[in-house]
Amino acid sequence: MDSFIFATLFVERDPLSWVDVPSGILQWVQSVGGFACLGLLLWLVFGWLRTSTVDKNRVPAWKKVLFSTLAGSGLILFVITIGLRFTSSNKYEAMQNEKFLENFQLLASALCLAAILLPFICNLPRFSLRRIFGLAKLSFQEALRRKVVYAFAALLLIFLFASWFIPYKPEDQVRSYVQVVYWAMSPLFLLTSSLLAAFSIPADIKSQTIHTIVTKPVERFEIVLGRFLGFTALMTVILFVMTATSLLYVIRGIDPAAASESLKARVPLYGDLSFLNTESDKKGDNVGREWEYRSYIAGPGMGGKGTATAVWTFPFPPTNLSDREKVRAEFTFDIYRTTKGRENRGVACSFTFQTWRYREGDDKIYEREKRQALLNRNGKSDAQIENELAEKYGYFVYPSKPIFDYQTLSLDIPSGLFKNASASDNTRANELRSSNSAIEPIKVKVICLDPTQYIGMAKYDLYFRADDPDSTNEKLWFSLNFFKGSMGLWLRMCLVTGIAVCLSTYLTGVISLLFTMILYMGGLVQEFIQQVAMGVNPGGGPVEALFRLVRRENSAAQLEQTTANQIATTSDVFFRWIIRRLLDIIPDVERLDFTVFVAEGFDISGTQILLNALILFGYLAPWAILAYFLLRWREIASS
Amino acid sequence: MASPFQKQARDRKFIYIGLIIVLFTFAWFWRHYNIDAQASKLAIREINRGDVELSGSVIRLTLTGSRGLATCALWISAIDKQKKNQWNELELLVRSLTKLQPYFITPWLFQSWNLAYNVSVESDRVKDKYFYITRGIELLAEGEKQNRHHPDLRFNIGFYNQHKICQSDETNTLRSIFQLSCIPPSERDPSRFRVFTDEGKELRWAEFSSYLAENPTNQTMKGRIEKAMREFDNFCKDHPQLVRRLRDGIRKETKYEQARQFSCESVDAVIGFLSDNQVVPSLFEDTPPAPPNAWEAKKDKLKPVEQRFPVLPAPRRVEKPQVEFLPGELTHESRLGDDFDGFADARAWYSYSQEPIPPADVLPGSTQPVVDRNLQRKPKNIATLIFRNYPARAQSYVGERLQQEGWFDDTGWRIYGWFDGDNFSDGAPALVGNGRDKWSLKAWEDAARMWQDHAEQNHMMFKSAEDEAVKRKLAAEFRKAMNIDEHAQTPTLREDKMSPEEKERYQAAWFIKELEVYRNMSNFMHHYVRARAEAQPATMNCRKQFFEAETERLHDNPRAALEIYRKKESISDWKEKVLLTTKRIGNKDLRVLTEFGLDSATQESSYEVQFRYLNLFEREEGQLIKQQILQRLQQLEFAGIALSHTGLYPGVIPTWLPIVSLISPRPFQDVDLIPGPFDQKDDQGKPLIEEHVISTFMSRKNLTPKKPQSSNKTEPPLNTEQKKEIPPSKP
Repeated sequence: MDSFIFATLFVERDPLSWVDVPSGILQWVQSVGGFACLGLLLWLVFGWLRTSTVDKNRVPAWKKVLFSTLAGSGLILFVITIGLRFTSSNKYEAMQNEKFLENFQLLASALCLAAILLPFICNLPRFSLRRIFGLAKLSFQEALRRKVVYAFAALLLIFLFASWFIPYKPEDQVRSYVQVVYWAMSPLFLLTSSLLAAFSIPADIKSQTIHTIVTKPVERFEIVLGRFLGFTALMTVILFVMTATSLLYVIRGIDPAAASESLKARVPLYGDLSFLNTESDKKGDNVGREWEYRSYIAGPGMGGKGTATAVWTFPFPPTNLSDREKVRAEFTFDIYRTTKGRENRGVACSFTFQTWRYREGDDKIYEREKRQALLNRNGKSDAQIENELAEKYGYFVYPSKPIFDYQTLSLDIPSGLFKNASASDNTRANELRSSNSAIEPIKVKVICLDPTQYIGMAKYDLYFRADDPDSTNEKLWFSLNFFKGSMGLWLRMCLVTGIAVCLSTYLTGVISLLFTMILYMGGLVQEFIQQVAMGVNPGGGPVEALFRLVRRENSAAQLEQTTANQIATTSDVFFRWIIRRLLDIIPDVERLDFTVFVAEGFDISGTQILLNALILFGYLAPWAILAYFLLRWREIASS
Repeated sequence: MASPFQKQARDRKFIYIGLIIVLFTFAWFWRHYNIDAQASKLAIREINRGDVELSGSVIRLTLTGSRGLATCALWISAIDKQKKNQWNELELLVRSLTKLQPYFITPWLFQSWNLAYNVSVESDRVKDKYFYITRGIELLAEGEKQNRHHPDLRFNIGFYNQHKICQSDETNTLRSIFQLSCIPPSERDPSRFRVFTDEGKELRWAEFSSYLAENPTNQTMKGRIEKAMREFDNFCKDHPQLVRRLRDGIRKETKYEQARQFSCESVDAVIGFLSDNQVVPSLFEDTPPAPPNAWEAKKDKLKPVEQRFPVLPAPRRVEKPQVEFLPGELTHESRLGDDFDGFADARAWYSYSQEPIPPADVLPGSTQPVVDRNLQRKPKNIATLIFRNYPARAQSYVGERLQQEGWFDDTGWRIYGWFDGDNFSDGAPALVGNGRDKWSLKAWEDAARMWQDHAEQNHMMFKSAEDEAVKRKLAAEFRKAMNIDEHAQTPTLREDKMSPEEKERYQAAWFIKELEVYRNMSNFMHHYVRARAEAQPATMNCRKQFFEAETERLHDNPRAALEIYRKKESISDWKEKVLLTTKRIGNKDLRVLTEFGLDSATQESSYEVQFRYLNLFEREEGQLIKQQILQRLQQLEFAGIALSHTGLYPGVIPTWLPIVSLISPRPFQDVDLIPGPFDQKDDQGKPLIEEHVISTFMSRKNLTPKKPQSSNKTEPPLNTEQKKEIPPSKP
């Protein structure tokens, strides 16, 4: 029997990739531009009208012209866009105009954003890295003097009492340790960072020590940046130390079963999943599970549409896979049983691997040749024969493999298959092109062989191991991955520090802290907020939910068409519109949490970290601009 | 000399200090004598409720007012994790949840059930199922420690043990793993029985003989092999029930079902099983397996009490008004033997759960009111009388389990198929479990005693026949006086206005009514009668014969099975002593079997025995009988032909019948030509097995009920001398 592994990674949201960057930037411009437009309007009402003539005259003419052009055109375009949206006479027309309006709105957003950024950009040459570094250093020292480091001694308490919360199932040891460590570190770091950042500037203003800085030739934004960098630097050092300590805690005395499961950093190579003979080619059958992460294929004869098959299509494999003796495919499927089955026996599935060079009918030749080769071995082992045939035909089959629920199992695939996939074959490529077929480098077909069971799978349930599964340095890779995991915490720490510093430029310490916490908490329940914003949550919006509560009505029951109910549902539409706008300022905290990858023993790729850092930068940048203006307008020793 | 200001300040300080001392003293006394006393009385102090859990208290304190919010968030998250099958995280959340609300009983019950039932069932491996069952039980045990005197918590620990370990689909494996939990890890260390060559290669048990034959001079290896064999012999002798279960499984109805359950065909398979389940929740600290060929006996260290599995109640410290239930019941200090199982564990918890319940009142099934809210509680979700019969019921289960696994008396069981010639390494027969207690007999004796105690404590039996007669007479008089029939509801009247005679009649009427209600509700008479009957050696002997006959049948030895059924102490004795109630007048021991023989469950099991016996009979001797019938029919046919020649054709014997008989394998399937040993009536003309029991059995087996038989048919022969006799058949 195979060794059982419970390391199961659920990837409910597709990981970020470079392909997403351009569309992400456009979306960013659109969202931030919207807020810029709002900011411009507010400035026009509260800022420009109140600015004295002397101050107005101090602004260079070219700047005035450029700003007016950008802001004016941006605002006008926005008005036109809104007007067009409301004047669409019917749905068909609205759909026709949608693309055009989107582009129009994007242009408006870009113009408003440019207008807002203009003063900041003009001010950029005045910024001095030396001064920023000096201010950061000061902030660093100030935080140290506040004995912030002592707060982290609380983590030791967690280590002392963690065993109270940790179930002792041997296989779960690493997973539990990692989760508890990050679970303990996260609130400690985030709370300390936000406390530091939120109270620093307000405390300086209150004690008037800020005057000693602002009266010097220092750009105000440099103060914000200096604080942010100083606190971040301090917390980074602490995070590094705490991660190293936690790592020692995690890897001491690990149970061999746990080590074989999670004390590693798998590098998975994922493919795309499609289905044959099921409800649709994108989805398998629905067996009624509440969690719809996986879809299912039935055993032979159950679906009534032919043999249900799950097909993974993988991209061209990296060349290092072809150089190995074998390549490991790992998979985790869910079994939905319609009969009890046998004790300690799994459900059999067949796995067929094909490359793009495989031709229809090659399987029969493969089988025939394999039979002959096994009879006349010429000193070759089974594995060698299979490898040669896989390389020759681009085909390999695993006729029956027992599957167990929620356990990661593996198959060793001959590397010849990958050599076949990587080799150039113009004839085959032309054949495919002429028949308008896509080149699918490697396909894996899975069929359930048990006539009374269903097998459930999701896109990320089957993957090839791009790393060496038999590596002796698993512990080292795990340790490295553990540090990568703490990068997620670092990014979240930057997030709360950034927000808190920016807010503290105008708000008091407590309000800044609360606001930061609310935003962060909002990020934790972003999924629910999205449901509310889209109107798909059970119970409806706030007014409808209130009605239901008062009347003690079931949240799933249909509301009667009464006037009161119509008022409730209509007012909820307005509420949802506000929530949708608010969604843009709620950070996507979930993406910045890499704990699950470390806990389940999966490598966190550099791309993931980089792209998440990019998103974080994109999120914090508007806050920084806001801080720039807020501190600029604040009456602290203003001349 | 102090200035007036200083004096004022000093006086003020004195006044403040005096006030502080007075207020503090007052507060202390107030708290000590009033608040603490009231808190203790109302049982709202943490230490009154159970063990105080420090970490939970700290967390609750730090959360201040947001505990409700945190609890809700954790519940939602726990449900989400369960939905996504993330059991590890689920357990983490469940533990946090119970720390936040330790005195709210429902989360303990709900989440422990969740782990032991809903989570465990999702695992494919029995070992994983077992793990989550133990987690559920341990969670509940932790709740019990923090909430003493809660009968429901104690009861559910017992129920999970009984239901999930001993009554589930994979019970054979689960019972075996449960037993491993009680055995010290070094004792069940697979290295104890493994032999490795000097090159480090493991030598399988199946290879021992061939290896020794090929290497006769290798004394080192010979010594290792002998040691491993000796150790395994000792292991088998120490744990007879475990090895039997691993070899044979538990008794199933059909050969197919028997083969489907987990069993070890060889010693290598046993070692594999021990190796797979080396790390299980246990009473002892985990120890790594010994290095190859280096196993030595050592004393294993017990885990701290709160980490042990199986979980057993703490030694009793009963405070009044509680009364200790079943003194000498198992506790976590008890030494657990090979016969300890989930049912015994359940019984210990059921017994423990009885203590907080107030004693029974004067009427059957009644309970006295709670007089101490701290120490006394009534069960919430189950009728109190049913709750009270669980300890005895669990003991009956112990007896049933031993019968199901073939442990009847002290004769033991011989291991087959594991050793050469089924002998231990010293050449003695591989007999285990012999010379000990009379396994099931003793268990049923205990059960009978417990049912008797239960009956007496809860007034479920009359004190004597005279008492019954008097009470029934008085009740009848009351009904007559009130002009109500037997089935009508007894009215509730004011006793203070009744004369002593009226009161006596009124109380008798209520007693009879309540007795009937509670006997029906708890199926008391069935359990009571059965326990007393199974505790009789006569019953045990019959059961043992039936078991052995079944063993032979399942091992494809129908002839041997028939031989056993035909022994006097088998079917014959069962009929004589259990079913034929009129023959036992004067035999005091057998009188207890009267009700047992009339019980429909007994009758159904008797009919099943007969059914199996008849099947065997038909299979083994049906052909012979068929031939003999054919001979007779042919004779009749010849006679018919002869008669026809004389012009007197009888017309009653169709000529095609012999041909059909030869073609059809079961020509008389629907006609019960051969009556069973129990297909007869007693001296009073009442059938031994009633019609409705037979039809229930038939429908359970998906069989067509046979045509009614005549009463004067003869049963198939029950001894070998008679087996060639032809049962009389009516043309």
